[in-house]
Amino acid sequence: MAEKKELDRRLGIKGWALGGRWGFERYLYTLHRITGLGLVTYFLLHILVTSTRAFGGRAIWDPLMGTLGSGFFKAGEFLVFAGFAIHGLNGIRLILIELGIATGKAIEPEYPYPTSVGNQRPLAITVSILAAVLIVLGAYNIFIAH
Amino acid sequence: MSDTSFRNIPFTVFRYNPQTDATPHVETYTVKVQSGMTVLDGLHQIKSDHDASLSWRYSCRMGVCGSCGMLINGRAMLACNTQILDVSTIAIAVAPLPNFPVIRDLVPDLESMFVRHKEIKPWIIRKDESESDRLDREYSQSPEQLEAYLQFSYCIKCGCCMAACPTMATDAEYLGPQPLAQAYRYEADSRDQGFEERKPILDKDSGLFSCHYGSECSVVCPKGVDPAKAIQLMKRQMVLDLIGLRRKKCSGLHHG
Amino acid sequence: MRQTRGWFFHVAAGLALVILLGTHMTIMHLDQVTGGAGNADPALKPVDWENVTQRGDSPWMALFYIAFLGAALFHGLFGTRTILLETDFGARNRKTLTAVIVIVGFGLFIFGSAAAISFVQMSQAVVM
Repeated sequence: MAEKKELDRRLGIKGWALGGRWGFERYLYTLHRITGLGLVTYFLLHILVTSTRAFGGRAIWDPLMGTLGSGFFKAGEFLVFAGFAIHGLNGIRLILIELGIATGKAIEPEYPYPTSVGNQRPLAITVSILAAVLIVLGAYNIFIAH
Repeated sequence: MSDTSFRNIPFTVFRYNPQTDATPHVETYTVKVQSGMTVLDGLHQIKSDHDASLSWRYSCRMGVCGSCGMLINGRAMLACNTQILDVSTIAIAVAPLPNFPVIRDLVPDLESMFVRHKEIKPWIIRKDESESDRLDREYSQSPEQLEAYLQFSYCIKCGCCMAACPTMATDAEYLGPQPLAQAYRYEADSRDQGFEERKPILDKDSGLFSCHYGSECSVVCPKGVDPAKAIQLMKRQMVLDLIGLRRKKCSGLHHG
Repeated sequence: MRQTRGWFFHVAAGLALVILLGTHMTIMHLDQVTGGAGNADPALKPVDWENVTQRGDSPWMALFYIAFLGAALFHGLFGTRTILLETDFGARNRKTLTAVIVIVGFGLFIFGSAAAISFVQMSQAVVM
């Protein structure tokens, strides 16, 4: 028998965002991952940076914070805050969904079929608005008030 | 009066013949579209008028067999269930379902899904196997008990959910939305006593909790099965079991 | 209960972070909006030495930082591992990846905890 020759069509990592016309929640899946990876990368560096105050005292802390308070790092600080707002609030949404609280129970499907995606959509919109409000407050605090 | 006028719509179709092509390519055909025509009708027209070698899988033409799942303008759908003009009046792009290997043109190899579906033991499991020999008895079930799983039993195994899942896109070992939803279909069935048997299968790496609610599986499901919902309800049962709060009342045998 | 247990602790740490990281972010990045909550001198920046040492002047702060550190390291590294294991690279290097993440996690937890404790001792000396 001839060997079966097939074409691999797994979308790969680009399939988190590309490869099709997807719904809002699927992009939230990707955004949750990107913000999570961004936050953990920052956090690992943050542990090392903030520990200098214990081991080096004010002599190291003041010039270090002077450098990190400049424009480029301020933009980074804002991105971290925005990542926190999105990841934290969307995380709460995911917990409510994954415990079956925000999805609803089984129904008799009648065309056009309503889905759990519609059930949790108000929650998705609410956390998106709250995240946007937090991001605006953070931007004001980081770029204007300081 | 219904619209009987025709309009020409370009169909861009994914082509791949493993015997002659090293890589896939696309070809564009002009299809004369009339109101009410499905994407499946369009493919038939291409096959009869333009290229008889075009391959796809179909059978029932009425959204029951689950054979003609394909990616239509970027969304996994059944070709027989999808009217062309509902998708676009300008252009149609047709490709095989992603996340499955392609056998030829629009024909995906769904074997990996069937293997995983079987892996979760998609049948009613009873602790006392001898019950199946007692033909004078039956399991009673209330309408509420029926409704707890009926929605999830409408799955036709078309593979649209697997194609739309972002975890399937990267994790070759992931069980996937179709098998996981079917695990809950049986978990929610008052006649089933198979939780302990399915638990290690669901709990393995690339198992139940590799679903992170991309939820596209439910968006694309042509039968309203809502796999994402079933998966989250299954997660709830696993978590309740972990903290010792899972309760399930199972039906016993009654005289028929 | 491999995956279920992992998810459970991941979520528990995540919920703890909503409070701990939420408090941290409010103090550090919403100080002008909240009128300087958590900062001894609202006129200064939250990262200015005077505010940092005032906050550090308490064993409770060390406890807060250590709990925060543990929850964030577990949640962050477990989440990273989950994402990586769902790729072909992660599937090929499952054991190595897990080992690296465990070593990095414990290493940074010990380092960060030591820093938090010694900073409280330093702050108490400065403030007194």
